[in-house]
Amino acid sequence: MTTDTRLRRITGHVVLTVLSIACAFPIYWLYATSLRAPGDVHSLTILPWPLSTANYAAAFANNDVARMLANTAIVALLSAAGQLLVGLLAAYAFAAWTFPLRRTLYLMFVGTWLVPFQATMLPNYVLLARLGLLETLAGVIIPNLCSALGVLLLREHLAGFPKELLDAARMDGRSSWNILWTVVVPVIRPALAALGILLVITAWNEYFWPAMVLQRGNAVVQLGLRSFMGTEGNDWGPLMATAGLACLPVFVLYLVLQRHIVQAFVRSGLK
Amino acid sequence: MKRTLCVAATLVVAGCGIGGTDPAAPVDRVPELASDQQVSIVLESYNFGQAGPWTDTFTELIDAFEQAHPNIDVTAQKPQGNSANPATDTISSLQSQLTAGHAPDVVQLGFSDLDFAINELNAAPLDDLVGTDAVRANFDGDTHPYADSARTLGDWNGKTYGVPFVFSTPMLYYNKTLFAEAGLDQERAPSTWDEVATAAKAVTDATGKGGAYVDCLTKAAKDWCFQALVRSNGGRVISEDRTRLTFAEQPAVDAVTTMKGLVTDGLMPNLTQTQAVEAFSRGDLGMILESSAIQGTFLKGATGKWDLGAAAMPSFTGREAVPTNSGAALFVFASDPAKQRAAWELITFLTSERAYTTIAEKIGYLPLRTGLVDDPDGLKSWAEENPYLRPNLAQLDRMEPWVSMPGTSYLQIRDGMMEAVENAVFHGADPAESLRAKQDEVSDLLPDGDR
Amino acid sequence: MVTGTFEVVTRPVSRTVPAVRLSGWHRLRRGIVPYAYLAPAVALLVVWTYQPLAQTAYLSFHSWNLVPTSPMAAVGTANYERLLTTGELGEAVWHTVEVIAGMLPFTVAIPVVVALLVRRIRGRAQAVYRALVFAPMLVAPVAGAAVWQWLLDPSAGAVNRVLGTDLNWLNTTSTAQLSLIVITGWHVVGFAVLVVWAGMTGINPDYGDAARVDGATPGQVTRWVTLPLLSPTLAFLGLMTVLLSAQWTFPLIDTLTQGGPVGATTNVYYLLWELGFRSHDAGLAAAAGVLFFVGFIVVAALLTRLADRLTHHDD
Repeated sequence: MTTDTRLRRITGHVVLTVLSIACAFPIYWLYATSLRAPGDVHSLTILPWPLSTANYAAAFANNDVARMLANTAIVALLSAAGQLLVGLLAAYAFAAWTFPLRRTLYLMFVGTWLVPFQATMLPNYVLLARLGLLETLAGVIIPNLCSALGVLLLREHLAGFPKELLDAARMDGRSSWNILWTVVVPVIRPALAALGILLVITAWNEYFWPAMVLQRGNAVVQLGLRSFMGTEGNDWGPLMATAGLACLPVFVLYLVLQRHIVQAFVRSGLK
Repeated sequence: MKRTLCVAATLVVAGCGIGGTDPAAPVDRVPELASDQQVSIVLESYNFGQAGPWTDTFTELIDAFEQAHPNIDVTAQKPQGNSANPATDTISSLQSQLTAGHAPDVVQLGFSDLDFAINELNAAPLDDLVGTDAVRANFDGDTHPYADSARTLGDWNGKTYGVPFVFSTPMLYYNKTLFAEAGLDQERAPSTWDEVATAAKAVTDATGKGGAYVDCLTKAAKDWCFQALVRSNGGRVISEDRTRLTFAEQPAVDAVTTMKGLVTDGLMPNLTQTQAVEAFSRGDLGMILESSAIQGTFLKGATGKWDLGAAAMPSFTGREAVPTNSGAALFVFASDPAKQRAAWELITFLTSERAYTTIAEKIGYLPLRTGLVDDPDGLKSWAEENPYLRPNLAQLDRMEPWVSMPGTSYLQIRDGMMEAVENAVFHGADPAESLRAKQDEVSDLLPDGDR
Repeated sequence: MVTGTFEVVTRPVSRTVPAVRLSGWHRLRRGIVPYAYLAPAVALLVVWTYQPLAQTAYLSFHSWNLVPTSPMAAVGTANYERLLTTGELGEAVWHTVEVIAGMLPFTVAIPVVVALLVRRIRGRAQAVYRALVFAPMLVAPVAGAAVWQWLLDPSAGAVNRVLGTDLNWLNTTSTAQLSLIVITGWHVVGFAVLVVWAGMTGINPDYGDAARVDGATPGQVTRWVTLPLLSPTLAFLGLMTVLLSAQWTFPLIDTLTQGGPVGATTNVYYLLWELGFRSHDAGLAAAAGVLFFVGFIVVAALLTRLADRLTHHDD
């Protein structure tokens, strides 16, 4: 190993260490503050000591945190599952057939990225009210069931699908529906899983639409977090505890599936 | 007869929807409820849903109400929206729900929204709904009537639309411990703004902590106590006939200049409302001019660490201070007669002596039925333990109402004015110029303005 | 890697399969199939995105305070005129440009520099760094806002106490925008670094080797080979930054500064929000929504064309 390479490697390590600390520190600080004793909340010591769960107790006392986490999980899982299904069907259509209006319809999907949320939220709210879906988790899930990102990513993926497998299946006279589920899906399962994780995390962190739909009580955990941020001063200890709880499931998922998650997000960025 | 809004062009529409309808029909007297008539109503309050004593108090009161009225079911909710301060979301939440066709039945709205709530959102006129006698009877109560200055705060053109529910006045809270460290008399709070400046300087010099903060000068603080400052200096923010904005005139400009002076002299730190409240609660600020509603938070922060003192709002030299009220009233937005009656029952319950006793004890708000503080069966002992009440009560006599801005763009007028004030006080703009420029700009937004 | 499109194209029928003549009905059914698969997605889009957009467009030509019992008055283009002549819009656009310009270092410059420096690092170390650097992307915006508000508190926050300053970062006109940019940058820098890193590892090393054989220095290789080959990735990140940074900052602005102090952090998205919810003027808000939608389409089209022209693809 030449000194040049070694120098490069050391530089690389230094740079990455600095960046990692910068990125991870606020998250660490969040959990550290939440674990301090209530009187120590303003302390600047790097390690919280003595450790205390009082803040978490306060967080649980003020919000039905278990129920919030459960609700958020339901919303996240159902949203992701729905988005995967809808996206898969649409991507299959784009990738498997040529048909009139194909390009126009494709642009329709891309176009949704440019529509500001603020421009559509009020008509959607009114529609939800008319459908009787306000104050329900369904009202949070249904309007977001078509994920343009999901459609586009899956289409890219399906574009590279080996033709021979399909030809063979079609020769057998199987229907397109059959082909989709018995031939295509098993092969792209990793991509589906990656996309699914990405969608779950995005839905978990969703905030504005749930805030519009769920007014009575703080049904999802992001809203529960809000209830601690009042004008009469923030209650920092329990606030950090609730924030920590709000992020915890995602982080747990991350620790377990880190490689896949990163890959999923990064792939969404590569063309 | 609904005018539906249908989409043009090529898109297939799943449901047409947003549109206006005919104006509301005149309101008739609503009959009493039969004892077996089941009604469910919704109460929307910005105090509900925040972690803290308010939610518990509301829950307790509602449970008691439902026990007394087993045929009425009440659901409480907070305004829809994402602001840190839910009070900011009250009107937009109400509007969205009105648009969707299911407005809450009883809504707590701040006095700043009075004009809009009555004239644009069509809050129900209670005098027509239940009769002037019933309204007056509620104000008189069983034993303790409303304070005179409080009765008319929800009125418009002589009719009562809103029953004032909670309100507070600006009070000068100060940290007695810091005063002692600075060599100031702990029991004598400053009574003029000049004295405030002197005291603030002593505190900052001796302790290095913040001197004073006036929570009336930012957009987030709204304009209720800014109006108090202007009134105390002999001016107004809007002419009495509500046709002309006057917040760029000399008395207001002088008031803003005085406040700006505190900042440039290093006596008032640049803080947001939340930061200031937190800083004072921690004991890092000498004085704060704040709504008495926040008193509970201050007491909690002070316990065991420093001593809290309270005094009346300071005056400008040579004049008397004129405090204004902040707070909210309860309005009825139900359209179904049974719900309207149920809503009225809830309002009378929430503004009864019993409710005020609970609210005062649990949260610390001044009861609008001021007689309660002398009633041994009421709040007498509580009042004795709460020396901070006296300055608040004393200010009630001099109190003037918080004036709401007129027209549909009232919020832009109010926020624009406060932004100009904030810019002048905290961010270096020239008071006269900043206020004048803003007044010219937002005057176009007045109804029958230069539009 | 198998490429090649997965398309049903009419192919010549093999002699061993008897030719089947499709009836008109069958041909129709076959023609409908792709639309059937697309139907759920398209229906959702129409109902929840495009129809509301059309309603909003319709509303933009009216004046209405959202109350059903109030009439909607047709005002033609008055809302648009009011929007385009108000000083607020110009300032909001300027603030949006500031945010985009401020974000680009975090989404393009820093990631490229970091990726160039860390090419040699692999294995366990790489996994650890990757995990840490990516974490902020997963933090919920509200939670992120909460901890940053805590860190930036003027008297109790860690930042001031460590730096020894007493600035109110989020409430001073000169530093508020900067603070927001740093917080948003913190959120996405890990993601951008990983995208560029992945893009870089996807570059065929043969190009670099060939250049080196020809006598190019490492610097020249970077400049003339690596970067151009990275350009699609960088173009994508750039495009995302321009189009989405205003949206990324939105939850932060709403939680931390509410567009303040005195409008210093109000960008076009926040202005849209304020017009819609603070002004209670539905027509004006609708006009703003339509205006920004059209504006972003134009910007996106321009940028995509620019990106296509400037990027090199590994064909």
